[in-house]
Amino acid sequence: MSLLAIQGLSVAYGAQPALESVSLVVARGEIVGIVGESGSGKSTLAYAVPGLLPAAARVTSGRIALDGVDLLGLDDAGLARIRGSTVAMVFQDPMTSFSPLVPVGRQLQAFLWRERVDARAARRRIVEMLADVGIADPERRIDAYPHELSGGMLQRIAIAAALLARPSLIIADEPTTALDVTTEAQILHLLREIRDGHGTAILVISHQLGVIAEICDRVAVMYGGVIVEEGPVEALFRHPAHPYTQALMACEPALLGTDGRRLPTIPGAIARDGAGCHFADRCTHAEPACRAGSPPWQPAGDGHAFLCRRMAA
Amino acid sequence: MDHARRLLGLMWRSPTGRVGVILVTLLVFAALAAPLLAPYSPTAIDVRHRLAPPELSHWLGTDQLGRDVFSRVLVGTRATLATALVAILASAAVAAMLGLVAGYGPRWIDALLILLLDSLGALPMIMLALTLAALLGPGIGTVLIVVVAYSVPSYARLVRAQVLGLKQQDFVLAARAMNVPLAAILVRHLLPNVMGALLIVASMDVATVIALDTGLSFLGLGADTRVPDWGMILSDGFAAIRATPTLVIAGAVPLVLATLGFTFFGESLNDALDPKTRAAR
Amino acid sequence: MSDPLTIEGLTVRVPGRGGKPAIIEALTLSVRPAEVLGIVGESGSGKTTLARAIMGLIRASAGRIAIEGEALPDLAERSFRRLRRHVALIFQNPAGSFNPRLRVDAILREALRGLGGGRSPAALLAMVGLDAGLLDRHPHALSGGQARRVAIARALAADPAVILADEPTAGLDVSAQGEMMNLMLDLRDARGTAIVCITHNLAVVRHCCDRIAVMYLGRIVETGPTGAVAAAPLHPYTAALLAAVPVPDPARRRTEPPVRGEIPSLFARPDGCEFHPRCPRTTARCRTERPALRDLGEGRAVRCHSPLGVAA
Repeated sequence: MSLLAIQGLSVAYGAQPALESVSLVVARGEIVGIVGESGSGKSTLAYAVPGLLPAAARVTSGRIALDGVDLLGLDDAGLARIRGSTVAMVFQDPMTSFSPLVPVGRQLQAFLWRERVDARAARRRIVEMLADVGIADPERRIDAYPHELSGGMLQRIAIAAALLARPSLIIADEPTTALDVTTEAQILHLLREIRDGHGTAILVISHQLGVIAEICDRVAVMYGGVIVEEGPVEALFRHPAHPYTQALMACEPALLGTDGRRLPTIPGAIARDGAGCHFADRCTHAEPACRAGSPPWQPAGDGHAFLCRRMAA
Repeated sequence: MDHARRLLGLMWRSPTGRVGVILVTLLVFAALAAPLLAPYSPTAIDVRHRLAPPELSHWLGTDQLGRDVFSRVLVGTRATLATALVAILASAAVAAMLGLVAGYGPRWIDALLILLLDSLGALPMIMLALTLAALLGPGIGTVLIVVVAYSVPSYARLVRAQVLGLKQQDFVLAARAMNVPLAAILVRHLLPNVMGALLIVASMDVATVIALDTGLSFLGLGADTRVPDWGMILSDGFAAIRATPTLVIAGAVPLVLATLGFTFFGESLNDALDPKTRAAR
Repeated sequence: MSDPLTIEGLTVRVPGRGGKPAIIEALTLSVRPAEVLGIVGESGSGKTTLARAIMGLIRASAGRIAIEGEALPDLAERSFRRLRRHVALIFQNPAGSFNPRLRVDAILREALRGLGGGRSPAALLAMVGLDAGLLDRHPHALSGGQARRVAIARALAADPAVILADEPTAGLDVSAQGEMMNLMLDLRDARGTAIVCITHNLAVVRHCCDRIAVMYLGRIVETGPTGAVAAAPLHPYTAALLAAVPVPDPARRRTEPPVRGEIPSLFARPDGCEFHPRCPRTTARCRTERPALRDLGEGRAVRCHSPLGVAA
């Protein structure tokens, strides 16, 4: 049984749909990446799992099963039980992930509330965990205030916090977007080490293809509230099947040389009206049939599929 | 104008906001329409009917000189609100200027102004009032000076704090980078963005200013005795308290209503303008 | 033709402290006519401070600035008022750089008045591909992309020789990044405006910029033509930065992060070469002696005792 199974999830903010019948599976110990631009619904998907969507959001259909438990049917007490112990989150901005008024060690202690450990044992575990995530001199850092620490260190501590209650799944929402590129490399490396060492599955949300390619086993590409392509990372990057995935990769400056000054772009903007493929207005291969009805799922290889009328190239 | 309408709509949603809007509207209406609504002249003396209890011809009775209390209260509303309004506007204007200069100017000017403002704020108001009255004589001018002296230190500090924060914002830096002259930066970029906070503080302060003005007038330091205001009604009422408590109540009730009304009004205005509480609705 | 902007020995200190520490230390840089220069640095490198100090928004304690080869007499506000007619700044968050109460028309007119530009607001909008209908809007009614373009339009008010763009791609999706950079490249081609792109986004710099300057702790540690620097970086920090960019190709994953540690605090600047605690090639000399910026020919310069690929 897979660790996380999202089936046909649809979420709307009032009348505005944010997710339309999204299905995704994360196996134990797997690193799955969700990549998409702003407005693609990737953050909505990530926040729906631990029940952290804002009050204005409504789940209109679908199931989310985590370790067999139906998350959408849980009340607040039920959600509180699984948060931290089964699923934990790492947020984008480490500076705002912590209260500025309390030393980080004490904030991390809060994650151990479920286990009856005394203060000294808790402190020992926290120091060990800080060392595990690569914090030098953890004995001293544990008493530091957030503003005394750099962004990279705080994000490591946020990851340590997520790990304290030994969750099976960590959801990382843009974990490196707020960090410098050298720190980003270190944090991505750390996430991979955590999966290798602890067997924790990780769901990574990012708008950067480079981040996804660096650590993910499988990738789902989202556009306009829908997953448009999904597959193993090598296959997806080597043979992107969906026109949107192909366009994204074409825009990626890191894949281009140092000559040829103009960057490719995807003209137009997200429009989500009505029937048909959401990408049709911006797709270079669009046909009238694309706007008429929803596109089908098509195979593109082993475990690799995409949502499009065209045949895989 | 639909900005104002939208604000009122937001304020109407909360019970205290509703009470505040109603009371303030009543008071303002009373102040504006006082000469038309007052059944008698507030200064008409009729010694034969002195100290009459509330009855059909005199809704709140009469005072020791036979003057109709209801008429005096109505006309007093106009006097009190007008004084409060002028005082607050004057305080806001002075505080805005001082706050802008302190916040945006060089550090030594800031230090100097803070010193002056703190010193002013440390003076006990009653002492200041009595001293000024002794020096300048009682009257509306003295009352205004006292009220302004009372309000300016805190208002100016508020403006200064806002300016200190604003001057680091990108749009102010951008204006400097476009060679916008200093006066334009102060007036066009800083001032409009501090007015909001000042408005909120001032609206919550109206009640205090009214009470202060009434208190000074009660002590006899206020404006001339021919135009009645609530303080005078109160002090006349205290003089006649053994005969009847009606006069004191008649003087106190509008003060209580005004305090409640303006406080609720100010607070719900604050909530309506605060983008955070607005977003939560 | 002389360089539109030259900076020599620019030093900016942390405000409020008597003397030390410096955010930017004796920085020297030239912007060539109509070039696209990328200034690359991480947080703590001082790059935003540099942009603001050049515009006179932050006080510099030392340095000389020259416009079109002509040196400014001093670093007083009066001199910067002259400089701002030749150099314009675009802020990282364009919407935040507009007074929320003013309409676009007023915003552009204010810039035209202050800088002495001769065009109309509608003409400025046309230069960035925007319709004159936007003149009536307030900043909050503009989309992110529109706000960025309006910010560029405002920067063009006095037809500057140099535009400084502070993190022009921050927070943008990859397609929007492309649009932004293409717009600036179009301006360079059409008007000969030099663009200085101050950013930590190495991938974009590598693709779009003619020259690259790398900053570390308030100093330039390497400069050179982008192609040459990207192919063969001389400074170990440059090499680490280039290696750290996550490549969207799973076949090219790294097994080890390219550099350890983090940028030290300004208050604890290391002795000698400031990169030595993190550098894999540190020698005894690096720990004690601060290297100077050395010109190695072909437009390349590096501040290192033992640059990569160069015999000592």
